[in-house]
Amino acid sequence: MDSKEKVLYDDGTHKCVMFSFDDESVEDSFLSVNQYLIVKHGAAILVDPGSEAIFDELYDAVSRYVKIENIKYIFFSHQDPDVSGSIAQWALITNAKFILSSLWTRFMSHYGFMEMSRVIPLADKGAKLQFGENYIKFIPAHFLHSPGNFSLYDATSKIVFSGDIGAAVVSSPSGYKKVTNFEEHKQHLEGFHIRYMGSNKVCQRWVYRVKKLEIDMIAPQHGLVFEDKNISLFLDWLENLKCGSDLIDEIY
Amino acid sequence: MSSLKQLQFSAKKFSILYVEDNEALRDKVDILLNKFFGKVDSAEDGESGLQKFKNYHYSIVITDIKMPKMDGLTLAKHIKHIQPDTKVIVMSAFDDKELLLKGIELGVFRFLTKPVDVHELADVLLEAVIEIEHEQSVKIFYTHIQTIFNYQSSMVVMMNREKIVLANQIFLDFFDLDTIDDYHKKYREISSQFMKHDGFLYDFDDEKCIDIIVGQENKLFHVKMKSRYDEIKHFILKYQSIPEKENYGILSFDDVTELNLLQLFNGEEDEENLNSDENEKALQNLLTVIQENRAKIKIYDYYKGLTITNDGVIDSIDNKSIILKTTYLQQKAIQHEKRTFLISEALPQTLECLEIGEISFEKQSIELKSFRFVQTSPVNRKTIRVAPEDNHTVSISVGENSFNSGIIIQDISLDAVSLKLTALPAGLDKGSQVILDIMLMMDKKPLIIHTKATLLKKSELENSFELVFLFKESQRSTLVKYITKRQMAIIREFKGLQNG
Repeated sequence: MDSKEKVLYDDGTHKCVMFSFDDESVEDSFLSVNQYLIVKHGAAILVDPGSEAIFDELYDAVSRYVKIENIKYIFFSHQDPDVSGSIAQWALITNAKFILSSLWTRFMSHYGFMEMSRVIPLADKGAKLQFGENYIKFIPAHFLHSPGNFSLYDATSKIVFSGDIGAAVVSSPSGYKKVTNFEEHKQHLEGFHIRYMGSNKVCQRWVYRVKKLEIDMIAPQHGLVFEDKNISLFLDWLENLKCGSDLIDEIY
Repeated sequence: MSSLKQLQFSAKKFSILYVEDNEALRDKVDILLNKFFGKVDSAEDGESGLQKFKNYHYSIVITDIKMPKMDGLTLAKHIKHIQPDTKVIVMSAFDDKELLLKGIELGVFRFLTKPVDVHELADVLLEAVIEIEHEQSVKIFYTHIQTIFNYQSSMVVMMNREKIVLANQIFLDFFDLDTIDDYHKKYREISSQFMKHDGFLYDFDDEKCIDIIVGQENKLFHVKMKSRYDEIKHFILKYQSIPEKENYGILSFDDVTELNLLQLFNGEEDEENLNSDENEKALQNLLTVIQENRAKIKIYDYYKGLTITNDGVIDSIDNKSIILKTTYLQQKAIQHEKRTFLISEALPQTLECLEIGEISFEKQSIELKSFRFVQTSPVNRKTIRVAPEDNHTVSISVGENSFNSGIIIQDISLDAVSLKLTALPAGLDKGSQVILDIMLMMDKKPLIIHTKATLLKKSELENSFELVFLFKESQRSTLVKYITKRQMAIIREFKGLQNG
């Protein structure tokens, strides 16, 4: 299988796939980008589909798992171009509804899209959406780093699609992109999280919510996936991280 | 705070009965309990304990297990039968598993082993007090809701997911029931009572429409149900979730039978019938129902193929017009298009508004007049279409012949193109195969599309013809790039209009 594609979960009716398509013009920045697809009984949710530059590649890859017209929802964890830059393309090619923070809906026209009837704005407290016989949950992750930010929890696969939380600035390994040694991986997380994340208080809030869930995997939008004991090691690390406004004197 | 202090603080409003055959112990504990509880009584055996409980329903009962005349567990059984909410605490000198299991079965609150430490007893009593307080607050909440419900002039029920947990008197009367438990004995989900009607909500085969309602906050649905007197009633149904109470929501049924709206929801009605004078009053009634429920309406407008939609709410209605409140962008789109389309679950079809009255950007309001229901409208479009820039060219090849003058593209999508021609080439009929050569401009460079196409639709307009061709070969990759860029340019142009 192509190393840019990895099935994270498959029980026969429910599948989660990770794609790793990068805009080649910025690939040397080592901020490798992941996109995700959740397919249940042939209906799909696309998670953080990325920029316009990778649209064609991702379209072809997604088509191998689901009919494009069966993409029911496209979720954007936040408004960054590497997450939402292809809104206009996906709007054109699907009839999917777009799920994102209500903070960003007013900026839709800047992405070349003005059909607000296709947008499901998420209130700050998040939401739960029935998907097949189980559900997906949008967990508030505000200020981590975007002020209107959500993680997606898939109750069937028990995967938290965490957006920029857990993102690592690391060159992409050739095989499965997962953390094998958290202590070693920490160095790739630190720089990004310390500068991009809002504060320790908001990290704690998110960790508190996530620890209540039954989790088998944390899948960020950049870098490597966390499994097994690395999940709790990562959550404990994040819970105690001083970042953002905690270090305001150093930033200014 | 220690349990003893907390007990002093919170147990005063509760009563307690202590049943113990050991007189010395009884007197000692009696003195202790009097320090905390508002009313304390004691009894020397199970039988006199039960007699006292029959005269006064204590909040908490502490009982020894082995006593003359009646043992503690038999007493507990009687008490739980009379007043199931009473917290019974059993004290025993024996660690007997059999008794423990029997006690659990009877709903005994806690077991304590003698001799009991004061702090241990205080802990258990505090737990009992906290639980009673919690149960009372839940009861008060439901009583409060029930009172509010009974003040409503329409049927109202509280749902926990798909199950009705509370209903007002009007609802119970409608189905001729005494309690909501009677409803569950007699019927399945509430949606099983919805009768079939075009444009209405009802269970279809195995699909229970209750799933559609729950979670569709504040949307209006039409339902029809039969009353105890076999009268068929038309209701507007609305679901509202209860904040901070996951999976709980309120369903309200507004009886609109007397508004005679059913005539608008007849599948066989064609546009002409639907827009008849007799239906005008019914439409006005329906719009009033939408207004009173503050239900959102979706507004659709178009600018060079670009769809612009936003929500709106009806602010007021008079004989000939409605005032709608919506966003600035939508107001601008309506102002430019000089018509608009309205969609709501409560409307039988798309409502086209043909005349625009006063627009107030300050009040974010817009006056709409002259309405008609339309079966086909751009609202039904499944694909995004855009009008290309002016300097495009098109050539149609039919067999050996080629036509390229007087042809312009009205709009183009991923799968099709709509052309406007001043003259119709000979030999073109629905299903005809042609070759299309289209030149568009992208990033100031020509973009060529050369494809086989099939004629899907041919219609005559005033002084011109309209032809719609379906592309036979996928132009997806090229057209995704072109249409999204063109869409962005149209948005910029539209926004420019706003500033002009």
